[in-house]
Amino acid sequence: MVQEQHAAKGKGAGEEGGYAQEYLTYTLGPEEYAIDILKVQEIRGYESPTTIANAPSFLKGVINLRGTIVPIVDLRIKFNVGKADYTPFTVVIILNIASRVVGIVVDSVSDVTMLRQDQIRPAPEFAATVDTKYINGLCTLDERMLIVVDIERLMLSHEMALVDAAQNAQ
Amino acid sequence: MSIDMSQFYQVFFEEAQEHLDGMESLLLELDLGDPDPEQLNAIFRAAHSIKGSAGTFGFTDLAEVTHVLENLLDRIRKGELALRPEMIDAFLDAGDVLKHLLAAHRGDGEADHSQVAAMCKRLSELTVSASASAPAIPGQGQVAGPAIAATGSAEALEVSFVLDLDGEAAAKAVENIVAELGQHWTVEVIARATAADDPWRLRIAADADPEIVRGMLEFVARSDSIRIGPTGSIAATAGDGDGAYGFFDEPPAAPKTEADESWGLFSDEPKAAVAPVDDSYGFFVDLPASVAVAAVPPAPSLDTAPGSAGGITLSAQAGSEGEGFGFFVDVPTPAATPAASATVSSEPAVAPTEKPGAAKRAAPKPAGGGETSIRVDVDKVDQLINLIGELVITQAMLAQSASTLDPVEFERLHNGLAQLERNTRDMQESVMSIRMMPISVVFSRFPRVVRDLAQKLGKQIELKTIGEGTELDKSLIERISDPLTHLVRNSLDHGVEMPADRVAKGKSPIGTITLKAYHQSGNIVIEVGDDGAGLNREKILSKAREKGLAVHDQMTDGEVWLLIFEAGFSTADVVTEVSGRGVGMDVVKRNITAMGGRVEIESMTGIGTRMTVRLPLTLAILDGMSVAAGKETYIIPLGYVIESLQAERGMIKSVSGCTRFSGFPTPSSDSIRASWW
Amino acid sequence: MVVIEADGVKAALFIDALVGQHQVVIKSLESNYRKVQGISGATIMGDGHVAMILDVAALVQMAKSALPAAA
Repeated sequence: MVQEQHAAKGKGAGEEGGYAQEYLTYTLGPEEYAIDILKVQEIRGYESPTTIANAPSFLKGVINLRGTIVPIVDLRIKFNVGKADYTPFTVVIILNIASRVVGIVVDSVSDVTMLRQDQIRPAPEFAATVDTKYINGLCTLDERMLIVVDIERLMLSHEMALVDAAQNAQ
Repeated sequence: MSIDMSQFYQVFFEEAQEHLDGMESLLLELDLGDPDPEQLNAIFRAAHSIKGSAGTFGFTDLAEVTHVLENLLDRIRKGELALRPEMIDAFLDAGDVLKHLLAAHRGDGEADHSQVAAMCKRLSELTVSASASAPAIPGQGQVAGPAIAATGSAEALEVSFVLDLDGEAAAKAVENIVAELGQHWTVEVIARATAADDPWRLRIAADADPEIVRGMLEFVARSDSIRIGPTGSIAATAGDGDGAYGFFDEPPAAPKTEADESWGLFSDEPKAAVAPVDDSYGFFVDLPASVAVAAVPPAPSLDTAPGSAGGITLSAQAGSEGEGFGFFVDVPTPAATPAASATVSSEPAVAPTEKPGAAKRAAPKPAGGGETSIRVDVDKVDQLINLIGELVITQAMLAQSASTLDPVEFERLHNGLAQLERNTRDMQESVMSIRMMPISVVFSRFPRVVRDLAQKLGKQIELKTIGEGTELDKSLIERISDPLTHLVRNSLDHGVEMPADRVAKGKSPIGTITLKAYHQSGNIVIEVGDDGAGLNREKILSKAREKGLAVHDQMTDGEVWLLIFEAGFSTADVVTEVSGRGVGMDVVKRNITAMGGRVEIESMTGIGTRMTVRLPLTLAILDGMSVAAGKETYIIPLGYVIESLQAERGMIKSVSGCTRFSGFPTPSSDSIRASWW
Repeated sequence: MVVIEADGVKAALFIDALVGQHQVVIKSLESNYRKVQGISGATIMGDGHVAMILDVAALVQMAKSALPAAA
């Protein structure tokens, strides 16, 4: 559904060339990232999750989100940035990706910005801690430099090990 | 538009599947020697419905097979052909072919068109060979005709009268009469007057009082012309020249192409025959070789030769519920000239073959039902169950926080919470029951399995099912089906002996396999029992030794029996196609355990074996023991727990340096460990 | 310590404490995550926390396969 909306939106605004889209920006260590807001379900505070045996260290465990079991990934641990401590201000972005619900822990959520397609420029190879194949591009906004992440691709990737290999193949 | 169609496809698939399943179970119930006409009719209707909707949706391959199937069925139904065992086999196989096609259309698997052609051929051959061997080839219809006509006469009254009026006025008057009579009985016009002195004929349901009918008619008709009698009798007495009342003097009307699902030739006023409703069916039987295409446009798509040279009799009462059936029989007279069509009446004896009564019986079934259940997406039910789960948790939380409050001061709050608890519990139960389905859904496939297998193995088996109404969770139903099939096959293959052996042992040659389901203390128990030879302890033990399994002679029978669930275990002397390769029983055990259930075996040599499967009522809820390990809580399904005890130092002894090993390291704590007992 | 039996094999699980016995509503881990060896699902406890449901048969299998290496 989310993707449909997305597509529809893209079509509508596409005629002016670079169409605008809303992005949620968050910080991870010194870097600022932007993700498609349509993939975001909600933002909530961090609560201690139930750990899962034999899971990679960045997978903090699962939480109960109104009856749904949602895995929580700490991107700070995954990408080795920032300090992985949990305070009352630690936030979790709940993403809805390919009809799966996943939470990511980031340092902080900044704001929501409108970005036009022509503002996003291809990323140089060495751009960030995140592998460039998950990066759609870079964007300078005033003094800020945003890394636009293809969050869907990142979360469904093998590295994240969030999905079964079999499901991944589909 | 195409989107609209695809919505209907789903409905069609589901319906067709239901029809096929229904057809299969009916076929298996059918008594070969003395088939119940009702059952035959039901099978026929199922085939017909599939054909009709398959045609509508453009699934021609489906329609093709069902068409041939339907033809054959119809002739059996009418008693023109004797039902033979190979026909049942062919029908069952046809059902399988149809299921394959259905699956292919649904998108899983490829349709095998050679299969379709082969099946059509097989069915038509059956029709032909059966016709050829029928006793009276030239006058088959004649043989059947009078007999049925005779029974028909008891079922309906026929009325013939001449009006003083003619033209429009006559038509109007008759319409009034029909309406008047129609308030009491089923009435239809079977012949209209073409000239002033010609008689009108009506057919009225048998329960009509002739005197009342006469009284009504006398208002309009010439009283001396009124004749009332049983079906068939009028034609003879009225002497209107036809000699057979079933043939009409009017030129045939074109088939009713406006109704998607009605085919064929209505030679009478269409209005009187079948109302132009989408759901009305015309049933046709094309007898091979003898039917010519009449001078009418071919009926929509499906019937290869819808025209009729001979007589056409009878339509059902017009579909007042939109579901009327008309039964038509093409008489197997050698082809008349196309134009001759319905006016030809060279075979007076071939008269009514069906009667309104039959149509009347047939109609209510599809019209009824339907109202008592609705189709709901499983996801919706699951969502509901999830929400209820939430509610239960919230309620528990509330109760917990309220328990600290003073019971006197907050009496009303406590009362309210108590009520909330009751309500949520009731609600949870009823929502859970939505997912429950009777086990007959699974059991219904076994008659077929048993039949096919028994035939293959040359055994005689009677299958008994008890407690089909026992309900269990839908997800369990889906998952129990395969393991159960395996158990049944196993019983059939290894349990029940060959008829000769059975007789030698003084048992009936017919073996019995009993399927039984019932509830017992929160579990559902399914038993698969047979009255065969029982398990052979010695054989199993020696086989186990061969396999290098740890066995000893002191093992209890129960332990020995469980060995057959070991991987690769089979005591069958000969590996059969059915079972015996030892693949399967271990899978059965694993599947059942995965569902939180267990299997037990009881066996007595020479008397039989009984395998008992115990399953939890639902997969969605589990009885668990919660344990703390580190800072986490884990649930152990209660079914696995034997005991819990305080571990003491010294209880664990090391065996060749290997006592404890971490079976389950958790990031936070490694305090859950598995150790051999 | 809890003694369990699966596939005819008995094993003991060392635990810190027995908490209680109740009916739990099974939730799938796979819908948002993936299969975890040794875990058959998850449930939500009365306090809203998630608890894992152990897949005893798989645990025993895991232990079994670890055994030859040690022996």
